[in-house]
Amino acid sequence: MDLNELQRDALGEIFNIGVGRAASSLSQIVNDTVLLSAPEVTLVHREDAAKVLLGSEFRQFSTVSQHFSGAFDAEAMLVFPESNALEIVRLMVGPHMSVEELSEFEQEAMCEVGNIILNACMSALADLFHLSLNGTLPVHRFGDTESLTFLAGSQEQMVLVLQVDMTISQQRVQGHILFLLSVVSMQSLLDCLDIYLREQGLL
Amino acid sequence: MENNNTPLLLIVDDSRMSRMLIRAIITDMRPTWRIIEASTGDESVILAAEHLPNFVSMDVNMPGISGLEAAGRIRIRHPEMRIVLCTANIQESTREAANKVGIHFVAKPITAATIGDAVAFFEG
Repeated sequence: MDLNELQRDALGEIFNIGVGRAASSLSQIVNDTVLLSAPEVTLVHREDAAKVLLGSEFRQFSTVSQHFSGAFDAEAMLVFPESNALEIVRLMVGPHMSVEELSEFEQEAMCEVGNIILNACMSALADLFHLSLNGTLPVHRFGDTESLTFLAGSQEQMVLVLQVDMTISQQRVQGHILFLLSVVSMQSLLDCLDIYLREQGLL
Repeated sequence: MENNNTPLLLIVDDSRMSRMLIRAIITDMRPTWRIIEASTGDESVILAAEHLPNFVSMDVNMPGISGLEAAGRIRIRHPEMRIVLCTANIQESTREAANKVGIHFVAKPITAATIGDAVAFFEG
């Protein structure tokens, strides 16, 4: 299973709309401009998702995940290097807190950041495709590449990987947004995408 | 039927889908308009100087120089060109930056309504 050029371009652009909305919400929270790169979209098998993350410059992660269900099911996951995660929290709650105090807020704050970004991406898809997707509450985890749960398991899954660079207050934060879908759900998503492109007269 | 007296629109977007969508909607609304396309900010600056379009539809987040910077460069050399930022970057700071240099702002997704808004600004 692979994406053709138009599908990759279209998914990138749709997620770009989602990420743009998320940046707007985040900029209100941190009271500063949030710069976000246009996301780069790749589709890989689950075992190769590890290489994407292992190839990045960080080993310890802070992750937020949410499960979405509807016309297709997807596990959406935001992955940040752990050092960046604490920096984001500091920007959200202000400069007056000690590191210990910040750590207490970290889980809650990261869930909120994840909630904003993941919902923005999924709702961009849902809105354009005219469907509704239900999301569970966000769950925050720490881990390294070995312990990331999605790397294990036997079910064949595809992983849609979006790489996004986010810059807040001169702090560059590199994050990944992962969508884990079964092969069947991935096909449903691509069917929705093709219907959308056909409706727009682009197919 | 190419007619050099009809308005020329430059569409700048790194997404082929977005360029196709804007082109399709404009062709529907204003069938006589001529359309050229650029996929980066740098390319848009060159095409603007070469073809002197009447109107420019500009994305913001693109590889290379940003759409805001490209729009600024085009505007310095060609203050008469009407430029619309058509972008998913809907932050207040982007809107303000656009307003400051006299550029109209419309938020993606690209629909007949958002492009109608851009056309009204072009013709206003």
